[in-house]
Amino acid sequence: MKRVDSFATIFPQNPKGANEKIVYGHIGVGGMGSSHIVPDSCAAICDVDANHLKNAAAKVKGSPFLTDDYRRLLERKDIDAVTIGTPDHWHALMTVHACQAGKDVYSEKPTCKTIEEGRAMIEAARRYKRVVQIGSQGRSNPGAAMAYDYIRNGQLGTVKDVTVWHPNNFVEKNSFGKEGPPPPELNWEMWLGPIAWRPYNPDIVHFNFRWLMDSGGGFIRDRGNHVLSVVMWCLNQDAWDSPVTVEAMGKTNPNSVYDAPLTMQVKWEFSNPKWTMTWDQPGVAPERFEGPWGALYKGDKDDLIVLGGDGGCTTEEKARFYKPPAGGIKAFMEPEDTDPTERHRRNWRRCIRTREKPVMDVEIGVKVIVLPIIANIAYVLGRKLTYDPKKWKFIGDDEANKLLYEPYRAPWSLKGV
Amino acid sequence: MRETLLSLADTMSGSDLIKAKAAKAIMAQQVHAACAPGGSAKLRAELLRELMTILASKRPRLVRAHAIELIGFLGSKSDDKALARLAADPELKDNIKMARERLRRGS
Repeated sequence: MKRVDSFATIFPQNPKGANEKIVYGHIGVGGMGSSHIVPDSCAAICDVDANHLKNAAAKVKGSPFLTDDYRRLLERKDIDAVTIGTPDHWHALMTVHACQAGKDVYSEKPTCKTIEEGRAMIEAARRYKRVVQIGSQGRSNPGAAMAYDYIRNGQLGTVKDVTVWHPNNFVEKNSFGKEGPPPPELNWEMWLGPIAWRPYNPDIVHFNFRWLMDSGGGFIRDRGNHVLSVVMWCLNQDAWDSPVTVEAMGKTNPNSVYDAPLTMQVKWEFSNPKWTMTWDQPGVAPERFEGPWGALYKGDKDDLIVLGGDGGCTTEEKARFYKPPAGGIKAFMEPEDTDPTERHRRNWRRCIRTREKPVMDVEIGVKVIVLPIIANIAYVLGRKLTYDPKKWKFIGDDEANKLLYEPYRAPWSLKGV
Repeated sequence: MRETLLSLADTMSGSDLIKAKAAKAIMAQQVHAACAPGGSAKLRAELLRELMTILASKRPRLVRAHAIELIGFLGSKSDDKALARLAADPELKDNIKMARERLRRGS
């Protein structure tokens, strides 16, 4: 078998000209990943579920190469770029290997599962000069852009407090599932990949991988990547680099296979500038502008509600009708007014040609996802932690620093980045 | 007085899944509390001995795998040899490899 860390020595980097067709490979096409398929320019599809492969292949012109092993897809020289829509525990490893193989990458949120993975993703993207977009499409959503314009031009004054509310994780069902052999269409070993072995259980495959800390991390890491992306963008904190404290608590459903908590309360206190963010799960939506999840930005002049943060995102009328002053700050959006997810993909495709950084470049994606990751670590350890983003580690807590990474099951490795 | 990890491992091995899940969580909580800054070295050594006993027992695979994972947090580089001796166990070799990596990198 070919070494998984050897792609960079095999494939040259081939930036595309303006009129050249970009050829895609799609990895993980059962859920959101299926929406990324480019029917007339797809050379290969990978999924560990043969039913997903069959359904995806039916959408594509011609006869794409089909595989349940993404390494076979990455070996192909005809593929320029890949989309990754797998369960979360694969995002980082596949992104790193795709960069090493000379492919540009659109990877679904959450960006990664651990701090170490995030660092490896940034390193791989930069070393192999790849365009890596993270699928937090709030950055391509006009609703979020209106909030951005409003807040960044000082309409709220100084924002000292952001409250995020979100429904509980979907772990209310009282069931432990039925462990047993996987169905014939599923390659269970490749589904697990780098995470510790466990028996197949239909209750965790496919969508419900989100409710295991190992493969998902709950809504705070899932939708948290969306809503926190909008928060950090609107507050000009994409490059935040001062220590933050984090406290987290939650309650599990004792009668469920899932170990992600049902409820969760998190508080981050940033030190420079000083501001606080909370995650309330469940939380109370403000009455004046209700929605199932969103954030309330409290400034010293005014406050603002922003609902959602993914493909669905909207804000209050005062921000929707706000026009930035001449010379004011205005959010960048790709010009075509399409569905936000498509707009986000178009940004990535344009950047593949221009070699610019996309709007949700991997480095921003990592800076955002660090916040849910450290919240989950604080929840698991049951204590308040202080994280130093400059050093990429916790201050004064050796055990917490043992959770900056998760050892991988053989043969998977981030070595060789 | 704390409940011993050995007793919790027995509960985790049982057929009552609600109790087993709770026992698994309490085992992890005890280890994480002992590993907190300022935690007692004596308690950590005691917990580590219990985890090694669980690992060497005939308890179910996932119970022993949980013990191995916790050893990765609680142990130090000097415990690597003890784990290495068990690395040939076909059911647990991946878990042991992962725990040893945590031991080596955390020290």
